[in-house]
Amino acid sequence: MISDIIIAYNDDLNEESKHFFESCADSVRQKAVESSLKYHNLDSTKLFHSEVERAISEINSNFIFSAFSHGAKSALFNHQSEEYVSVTTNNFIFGGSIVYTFACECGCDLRNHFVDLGVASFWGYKENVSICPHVEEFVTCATEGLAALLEGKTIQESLNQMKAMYDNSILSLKNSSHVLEAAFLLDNKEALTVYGADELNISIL
Amino acid sequence: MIIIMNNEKFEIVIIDDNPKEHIHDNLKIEYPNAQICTFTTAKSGADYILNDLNKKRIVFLDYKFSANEMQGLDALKAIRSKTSLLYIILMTAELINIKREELMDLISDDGISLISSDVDSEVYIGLVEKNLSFMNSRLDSVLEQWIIDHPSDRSKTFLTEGTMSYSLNDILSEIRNQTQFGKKIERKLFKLIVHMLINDK
Repeated sequence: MISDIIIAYNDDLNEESKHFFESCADSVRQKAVESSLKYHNLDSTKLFHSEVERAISEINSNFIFSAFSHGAKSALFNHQSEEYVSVTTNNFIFGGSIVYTFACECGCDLRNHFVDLGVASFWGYKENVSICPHVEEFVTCATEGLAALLEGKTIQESLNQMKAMYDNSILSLKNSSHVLEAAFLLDNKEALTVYGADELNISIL
Repeated sequence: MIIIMNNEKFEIVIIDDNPKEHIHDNLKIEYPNAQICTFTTAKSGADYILNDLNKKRIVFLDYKFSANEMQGLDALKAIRSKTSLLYIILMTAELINIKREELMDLISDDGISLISSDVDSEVYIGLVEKNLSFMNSRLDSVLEQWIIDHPSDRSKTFLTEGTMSYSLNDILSEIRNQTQFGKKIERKLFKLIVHMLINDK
């Protein structure tokens, strides 16, 4: 049974997407509290691979690692463009756990490495993701799958719920004349990639 | 349909060192609601256009000006360096004298029509009709208008992608210049339209 969640996010003052990353972290933290999970924050002052390793070493069972920051095909980056999770540093410590990311392109090589090294589930994006910083729907969609997992839903149910949230948000934005925002959100939805057995949930991990 | 278009507000800019009165008069009769502005030098016409790219316009531009002045093609290039979304009807009395490479550029730009200075009014009015229709149906032009009409502050960050951030003004510029990013935005919008059609919403 998973009872810990690490929330890694880039809230550096100079980060253009600070508000978005922070809002995602706030939303996930709230869901974690409501689901009685213990949360561990890794804000920009702790967004280093050594801190990730330290946080994980203090957890004695499987966990959820969530990340809201910049990324690339093989790594997640902090505000100093340093890798805090990557295929060459600490990818081997996530076996059996859930990794949930909102970051550019990490649904490519990083995902594949995690899968090869036995991660239970991986959530990420195969392409660059777009953020309209002050449009709430971008936060809601980015975190919806994780919110569903924290409610105890299976991977398949959580993915369906996330896709439905994307579709409803795209429609709602389009209907309120926010067509460009809707177009960017659709692109995010189409870049989403999820790995994991359909029936898994946090109770049986 | 033509009646609706003829009532539409837009601007016709004539840039010609020897403006033909009949062109102005015929356009005024056909498009009574259109504002018609005339400039007798390529530079003053180009400056006027570049000073405000947000207006819906069709430009009649003479090809040849006096030897020591800015030529029509120079004005065209200056305008094209800022926007691909402005329709230009290039008028020349000497079609045959245009250099081959210049002609290739003109032909490959679908926002340019080339006419002889002495064509019948049906020809240039037909081109205005065609270009008005393009303006109302081309995705890039529609998107341009949507951004111009957007109520929010166009200079604020609208979008971040990776470490890049864009205001609506930046996006407008990318679309007008048909950059890779500008074209990408158009593709995204086209995908949204298809998505909505498929999902019947």
